[in-house]
Amino acid sequence: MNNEIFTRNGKALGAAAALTLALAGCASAPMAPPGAAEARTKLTRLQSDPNLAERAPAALKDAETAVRTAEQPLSKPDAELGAHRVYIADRKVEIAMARASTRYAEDQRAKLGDERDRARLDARTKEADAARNDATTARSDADAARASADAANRDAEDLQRQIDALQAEATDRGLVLTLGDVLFATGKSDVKVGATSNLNKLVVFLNKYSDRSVQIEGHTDNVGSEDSNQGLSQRRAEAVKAYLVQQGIAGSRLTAVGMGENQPLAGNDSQSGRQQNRRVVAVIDNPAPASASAK
Amino acid sequence: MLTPSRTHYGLRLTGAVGLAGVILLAGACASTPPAPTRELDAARIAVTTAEKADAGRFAAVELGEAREKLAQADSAVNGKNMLAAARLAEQARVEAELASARTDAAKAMAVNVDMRKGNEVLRDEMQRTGDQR
Repeated sequence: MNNEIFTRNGKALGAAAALTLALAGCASAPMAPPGAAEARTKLTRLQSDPNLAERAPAALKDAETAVRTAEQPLSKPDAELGAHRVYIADRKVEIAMARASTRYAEDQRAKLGDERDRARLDARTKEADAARNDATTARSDADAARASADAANRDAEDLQRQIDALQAEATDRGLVLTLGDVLFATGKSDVKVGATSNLNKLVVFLNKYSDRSVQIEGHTDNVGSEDSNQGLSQRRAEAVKAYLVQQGIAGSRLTAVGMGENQPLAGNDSQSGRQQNRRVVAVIDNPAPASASAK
Repeated sequence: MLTPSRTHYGLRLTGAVGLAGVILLAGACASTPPAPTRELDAARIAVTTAEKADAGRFAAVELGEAREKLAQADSAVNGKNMLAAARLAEQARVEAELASARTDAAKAMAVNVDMRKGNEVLRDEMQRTGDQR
């Protein structure tokens, strides 16, 4: 009886133990920890990336080892160890990826350097071309400047020749050309025929330098009243102006002024003195822009 | 009567000795655990290396996590949990190594970006000079 119970109990116990064992076996059947598969996937992706796969062999080998370790089946009590191994594996894969990326960037640098060298070479070529062009331009600029300087010199020489020809005197007021008394008979205000050669030089000059205007001043000796001399000097100045207008000089450029007898050049007590005092003076303006630029 | 009784005693004795052995073993483990000095040192060196490489700028998250893990390892040592300390120290080291690796990568890429930009500027300038003529 007792034995029987024992046997039955024993059987029941055995069955229960077997069940418990089986259940325990199911629950703690060793398996790869969670996250190991993801680490493997990441590693595989890295290994099949043509730009990265070959570029960090040592780090990749480390990662491979770590992933394999993480993939080792563990029973439930070792969950923490599993998590640790997965953590390490994941980071090692990331390290391999970073190292490979670094190497890839370094390898690309050679290409970028070549590109830069090519760009620099092109730039230098262009610069050289530009410099050549600039030099040509500069040369022609210099030529032009020289030409215009030459022209200016020629003009200045020309002017000087003209002034010399006029026998004019350069003063602050301008070119002063004394026409003398040979133009007029005493008391007369009409220009003597055949005494116009000086005046004609003035016409040539004024035609050439069309920007200059002229003040024509008449002067007399002290023969006769002051009033009549004033009138006479005015008429003589007008006569010269009329002659110049007749020769084609614009009247707007010409001013006639009678100065009377009060600005003698010499004494009126001799024939020669009075002759010097009877005169018409043409004062030719210095051109305003030229004098401004001279200063 | 006596004989079976003795046998019984003998069995009991064996059990007691075994139990004492298990308790002793466990006690030994709990009372004098050696700190994982090697792992901790390696982790510290790795963090310092990352800091020197300017990981604070290029891989701040990774560097921060490495420091955090190292701090956790230290407090695990204080809590006499040496297994955890060793694991945390190893995690800190690997995380710091990742910070360094990503810093290197970021720097390398920055150089390339600069070069690429420089090349573009060069090409642009050339284009402009080309246009002027």
